Amino acid sequence: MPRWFVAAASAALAVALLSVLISAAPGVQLWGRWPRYEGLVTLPVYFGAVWVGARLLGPAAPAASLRTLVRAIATAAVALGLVSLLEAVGARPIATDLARPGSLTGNATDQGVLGAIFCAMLILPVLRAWAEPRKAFAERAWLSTALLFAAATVIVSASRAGLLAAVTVLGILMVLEIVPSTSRRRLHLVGLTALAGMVLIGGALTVPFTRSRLLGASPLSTQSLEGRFIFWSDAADVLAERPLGVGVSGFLNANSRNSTSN
Amino acid sequence: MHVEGRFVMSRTASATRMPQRVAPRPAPIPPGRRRAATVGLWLLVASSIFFLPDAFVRWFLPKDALAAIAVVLASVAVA
Repeated sequence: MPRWFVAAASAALAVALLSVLISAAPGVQLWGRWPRYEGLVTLPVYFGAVWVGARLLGPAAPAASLRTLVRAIATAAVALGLVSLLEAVGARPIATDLARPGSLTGNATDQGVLGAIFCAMLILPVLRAWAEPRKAFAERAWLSTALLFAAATVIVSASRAGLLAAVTVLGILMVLEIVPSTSRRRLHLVGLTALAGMVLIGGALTVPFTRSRLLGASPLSTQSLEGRFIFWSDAADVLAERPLGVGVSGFLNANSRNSTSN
Repeated sequence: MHVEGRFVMSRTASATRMPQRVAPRPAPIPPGRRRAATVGLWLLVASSIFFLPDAFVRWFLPKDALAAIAVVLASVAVA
């Protein structure tokens, strides 16, 4: 990994550790709070995942590793999409009492954002698979199906963050692909981009519960948006009271004393 | 012809007579490590959708546990 990254990560870790040691509940905050445990439990895994990406998928990665990554993502996208679609039609393959269960993830925002990440990772491999004449049809079909499932996941998650992320990555990736292309291929790519954008936006406006969240017609959509503004206001109050912060995983306790949301 | 430490082939000279520097081939990766890298990558991606049945467990800990196993496998692959 680059030295600057290791230095920056080490500095961030040192600051996080110091903030926990001078916090209100160092013991609990060191491990991290339920349900994320973003302390000694989870943070090493996050750093480990970045390290794996850098070592196995960095600039010198063999083509076989990149192929493995794309195949794994395609398989995960199909699994996530299948459960998402089942839940969207009212089935509950995994027991839950939530209105928006989140498919194979913890909540609907995670579901939508993961779908958008899968779209981001599959858009270019799908384009390349269809442009590469020697690519097997099964591989093309599998990757394309996976991309459709990833887009469907974003749509039926009804997550505004997920939809925004998917539209953004579509725009960025296609601009990066279109700019160096020949004029004939450029026209083709612009058409594909417009079609993909229409599928995403049109799909979101066609699915009733996604449309009502997007247009702010559902009470839950207004509530969750207002909730975020309240959290930001509470965070500003906590920060005004303690300019050095409350340490990693310390906001919950500090906010329960200051909260304006109760 | 020798330019800045590299041998550049002249168009008129025979390629067979010119000394050439061949880039060293990367050492072949042992099959065990290659398999560990492949399984590590699959598990790392799978960790994003992994869950255990019952309440709230679609959340973080099962995903984190599988990601940790993937990181250990990947570390074997690059050891």
